[in-house]
Amino acid sequence: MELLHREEIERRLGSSGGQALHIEPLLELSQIGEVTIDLRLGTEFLVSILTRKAYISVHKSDQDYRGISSYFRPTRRELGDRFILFPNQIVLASTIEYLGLPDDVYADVLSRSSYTRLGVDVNTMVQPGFRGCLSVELFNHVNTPVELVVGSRVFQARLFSVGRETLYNSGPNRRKYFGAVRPAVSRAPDDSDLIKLEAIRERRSS
Amino acid sequence: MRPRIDLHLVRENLRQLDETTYFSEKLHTFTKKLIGAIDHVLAVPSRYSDDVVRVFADVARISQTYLAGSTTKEAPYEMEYCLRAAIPRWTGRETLITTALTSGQDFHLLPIDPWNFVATAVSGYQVGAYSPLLVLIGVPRIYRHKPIYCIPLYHELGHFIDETLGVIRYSLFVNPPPPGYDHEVVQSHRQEFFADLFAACYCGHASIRTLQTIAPHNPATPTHPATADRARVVEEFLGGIQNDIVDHFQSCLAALGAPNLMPLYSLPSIAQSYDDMRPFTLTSREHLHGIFESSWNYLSETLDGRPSSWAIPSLSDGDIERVVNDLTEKSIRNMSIKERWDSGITP
Repeated sequence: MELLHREEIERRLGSSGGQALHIEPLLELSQIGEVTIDLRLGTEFLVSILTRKAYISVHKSDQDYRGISSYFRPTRRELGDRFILFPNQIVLASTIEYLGLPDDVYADVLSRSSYTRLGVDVNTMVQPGFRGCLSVELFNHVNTPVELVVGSRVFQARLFSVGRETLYNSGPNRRKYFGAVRPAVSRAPDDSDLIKLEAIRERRSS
Repeated sequence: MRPRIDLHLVRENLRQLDETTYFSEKLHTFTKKLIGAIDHVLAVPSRYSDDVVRVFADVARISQTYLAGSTTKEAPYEMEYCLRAAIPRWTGRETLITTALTSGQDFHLLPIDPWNFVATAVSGYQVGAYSPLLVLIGVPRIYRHKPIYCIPLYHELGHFIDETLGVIRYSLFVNPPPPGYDHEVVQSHRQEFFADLFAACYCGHASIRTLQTIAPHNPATPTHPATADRARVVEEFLGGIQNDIVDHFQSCLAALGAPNLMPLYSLPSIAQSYDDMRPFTLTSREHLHGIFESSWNYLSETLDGRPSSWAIPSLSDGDIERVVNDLTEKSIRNMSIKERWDSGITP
């Protein structure tokens, strides 16, 4: 596995085919650093809200199961608007950039150190061949609200070549978050393992 | 309810709106100016008659309703962006667009002009040159992120432009309904034909395909011409075939000193980007409007089995629709973001 450097990132940005890298829009070339690409905070948010339910269940079979989207409220800002991230609040955001990763490259997405120092920590990974705006889970770890500006460079991505092409989109099963252009709530309840695990639990207790 | 109490209540609501941070600067200015006009009317109770206050309260209440829709932060900004791009060709008047999501299935576009009323009836209050028109777009909530299904908004914009320019009023003046024809029916039909042609100027064949999908066999009614007649007029207009209705509207527009009806779009070749599940990079106004027809065609073909790298058999029609609408929305959003970014760089 090899970390892509600026020269290789720029080469892939200008190429076509399975090895091409797409970032749309790339507002400034300076977003490409020596071994990272800065990504900007997008315009749409899903803000967690308190509900009457005591906890979020991931078991659709639960009698009082509620869709996970009911625990979030959508809102939107324009480029340059501010967004306040409150302590201990999870907010699902996305990048302005729509990414098309090469079939042989995966990405680690982190908060830039300037934001990590404010207590806003992001850490997620993206599969080779991914298409979409990256959904990012914003969480404020400190006890003071933090103001974020829509369109600012909050995130950075490191790209790694895995040495072989993968089949992200052309597999037989649909991907959970493919082609997303706005933040999406967790689809953990769709994990097929949960049905099997529930069956195991029921068999054990009967 | 007494008119002054009504106006007082509207002012309270406007003040609450003005305090929300979820508002654009232009809408804040509009709200403040409207509050200023209400302050003036309420300051001296004997200055204006109850009739004037009653009408003003109504105009202010409608404005307040429109403004409130823009604080929800759920509006389809991409459609607003497209419509804003179309308006300057037809009117130089500043237009503020607000959006409300509705629970029904119908689109609407309603203008309200409080400044005209203030200038004529509230003579003691000086608004100066400030006179933006407020336009409310109503979009069914289920189509909030479905730009391809929002094509009817161009038709509604056509009604607004007609009303602003007075096209059908002039049409009825120079070419009144023949004896035996109902004036209102003729007026309604001409309004619909004009709005159809206006939409076709921007969305091409997709403008009428929408109608043919929703109501393929609708006969003529007192309010609308038959779908087949509407489709024929649009097809002949786009095909450059002589049509009496089109010719009549062109002569009306010319007499009013307005631009003529003509295709104002070109079709972007989106297939290569969309096949790779990526948005298309829009760089011109013609492509911005043309993406609706291109996307409509792409969606139809993909639903009908056109192969692409991502439309695998396990995808449902809903998945395909979602991807194509999202790619279209993101293509438009990227253009608006790029434009705003560049405007910030320009000193």
